[in-house]
Amino acid sequence: MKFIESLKEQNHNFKINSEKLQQAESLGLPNFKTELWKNTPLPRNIYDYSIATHNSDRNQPLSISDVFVEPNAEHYKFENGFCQQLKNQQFENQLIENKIDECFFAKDIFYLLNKSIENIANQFVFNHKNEKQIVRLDYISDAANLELINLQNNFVLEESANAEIFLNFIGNDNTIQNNIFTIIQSPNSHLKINILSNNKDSQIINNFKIIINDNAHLTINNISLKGKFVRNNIQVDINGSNAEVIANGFYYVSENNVADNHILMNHNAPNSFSNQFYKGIIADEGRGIFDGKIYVKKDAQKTDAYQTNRNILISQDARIFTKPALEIYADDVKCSHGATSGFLQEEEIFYLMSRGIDKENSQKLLLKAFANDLIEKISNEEYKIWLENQIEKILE
Amino acid sequence: MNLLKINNLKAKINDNEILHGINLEVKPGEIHAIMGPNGSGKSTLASVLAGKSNYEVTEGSVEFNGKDLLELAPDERAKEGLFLAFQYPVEIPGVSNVNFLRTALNEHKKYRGEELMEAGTFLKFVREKAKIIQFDNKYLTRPVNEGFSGGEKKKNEIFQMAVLEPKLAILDETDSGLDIDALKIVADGVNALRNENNAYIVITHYQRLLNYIVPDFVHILYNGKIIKTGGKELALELEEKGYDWIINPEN
Ligand SMILES: Nc1ncnc2c1ncn2[C@@H]1O[C@H](COP(=O)(O)OP(=O)(O)O)[C@@H](O)[C@H]1O
Ligand SMILES: [Mg+2]
Repeated sequence: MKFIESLKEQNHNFKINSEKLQQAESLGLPNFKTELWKNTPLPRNIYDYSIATHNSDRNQPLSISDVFVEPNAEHYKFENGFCQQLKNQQFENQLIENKIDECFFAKDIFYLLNKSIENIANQFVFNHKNEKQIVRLDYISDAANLELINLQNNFVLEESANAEIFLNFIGNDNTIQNNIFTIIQSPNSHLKINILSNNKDSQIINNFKIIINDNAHLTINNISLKGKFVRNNIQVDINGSNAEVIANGFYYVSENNVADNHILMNHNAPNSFSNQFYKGIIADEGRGIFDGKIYVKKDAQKTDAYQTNRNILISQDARIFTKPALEIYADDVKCSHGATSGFLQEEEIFYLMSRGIDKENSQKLLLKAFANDLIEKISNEEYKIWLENQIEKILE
Repeated sequence: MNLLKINNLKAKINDNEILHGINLEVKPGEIHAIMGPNGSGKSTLASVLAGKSNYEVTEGSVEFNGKDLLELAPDERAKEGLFLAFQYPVEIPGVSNVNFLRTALNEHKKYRGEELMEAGTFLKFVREKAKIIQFDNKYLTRPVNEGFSGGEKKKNEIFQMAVLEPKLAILDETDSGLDIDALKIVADGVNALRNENNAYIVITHYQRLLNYIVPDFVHILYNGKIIKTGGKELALELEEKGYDWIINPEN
């Protein structure tokens, strides 16, 4: 594996944790027997990717036109893993090291590989008490050669902080982004995370480990509209009471692209609420993977936890693998999960056609309605409208 | 001139022939009632005319508005002026009634080369139409038929008909599920929308609707064939004597 070799060489500025690198190497690449990858084909030519360094050759710079521009956001740009604005603020990630490794993707080669680099973390701290802080981070990868780009960002919300974070992933198909996000929410904090993949060539592996405490509110809007390979591993540890997690997701997968969402909602404390609501449209030879789990610990009584995954396939060659799961060790809980997958209803198409709308437009109307059912859950009005327009364009 | 001319129409579904040779002619301004026991093929006839794809026409022809109806896709049939008020209207979550109808109406207008209607004008236009059948405005913005009662769904069909102003409307048991007041409102609506250029085919089990929407012809459809045609008095006779005397005349 070229990316392992390139880390072993010395011509880079990375500080390597050789134990982790060794673990990554001996683990090797996943195959169809690897539980977390059994329905997910790896990006093509994965063996040929080396690790991106500070001196990576750039291709022609990617435009970042297909992102939502939040006018009030502080804006950061990461290019091939590095952010000019934060050049001198990279640090070693020991800070939250101990907790973060307890995650379902800890034994994944990409995670281990990333963690074997010790000095690439950036940290964002949100500490305003009565004012919402908005940050937009664009992750752009446009290396000229096949490169795996590793990046670690930590977001820490202090008590009663209120933040909205836009994470935009934009890459060319020479690059695979391999990102780790660690998020810690102190009591009474509010956070909205908007994850967006809206670039046709992107290959992205995101690992999110989120820890939230008493009375914290978290909303994740995880949207992938375009991208060759988009994988999100998301683990939320609800370690406090009266916390609330809303996890919305939408994926549109076309051509022979892959959209993969693995989610683990850990209820470790009583009296908290979570709702996962994921919808997907799979076209062409696209492949969607939804693997979502609610885990309720023995003492997490009075947990309310829900999960829904709905998929529409619009081509005979489209594939969806959906695996909703509950694992509950407390007895006084309200939990449910459900998944549906299917084609558009002929009856509905016929009804619309019988009123004078042609087949193509009838299908479009139904798909738009299917998507908007999720998109309208997004409370940022401008972002919602922007997304609706993007989806409308995609369905054209 | 006929608006609709059905000639020896045979149709099957899953290799079962349901319609065994239907003949029917409808002229502008006319109202035809089709009656017949359950399972006779009334809804099948309506679906075949509207262009539902799981039915296969095996024989015969249908001319509508001077065109070969069977050659047209369902949406083209609608734009030519055919409308079916479904016996069982489907629910369409997430698609608002007015948005859907505006899209539909504008498709009709495009087809006819007319100017499209913008949202504001359209809203005024549909509110007027809703009044005709006392259709509560709150149903306009809701998703199509979602959570509507049986009666509201039927009213919504007539409301859509009022907006699209078809040349020929087929009402498939629009009366079933309506109480007598709603029935009267719907019938009044139909009568208000009636003129010398449009026609109706009213499929019903009951004479009571025909007290309000008075047909020029009554056809009895039985086992996939029209076995008797008469005037409005035929419906009264059926009400009194049932179908048996027509189906088994020797008894
Ligand atoms: N999908 C189907 N497959 C097979 N037979 C059908 C199907 N739909 C309807 N039929 C049959 O067609 C006949 C006519 O049904 P229908 O047109 O609904 O009658 P009506 O509207 O007069 O009550 C019935 O015998 C019914 O069982
Ligand atoms: Mg019927």
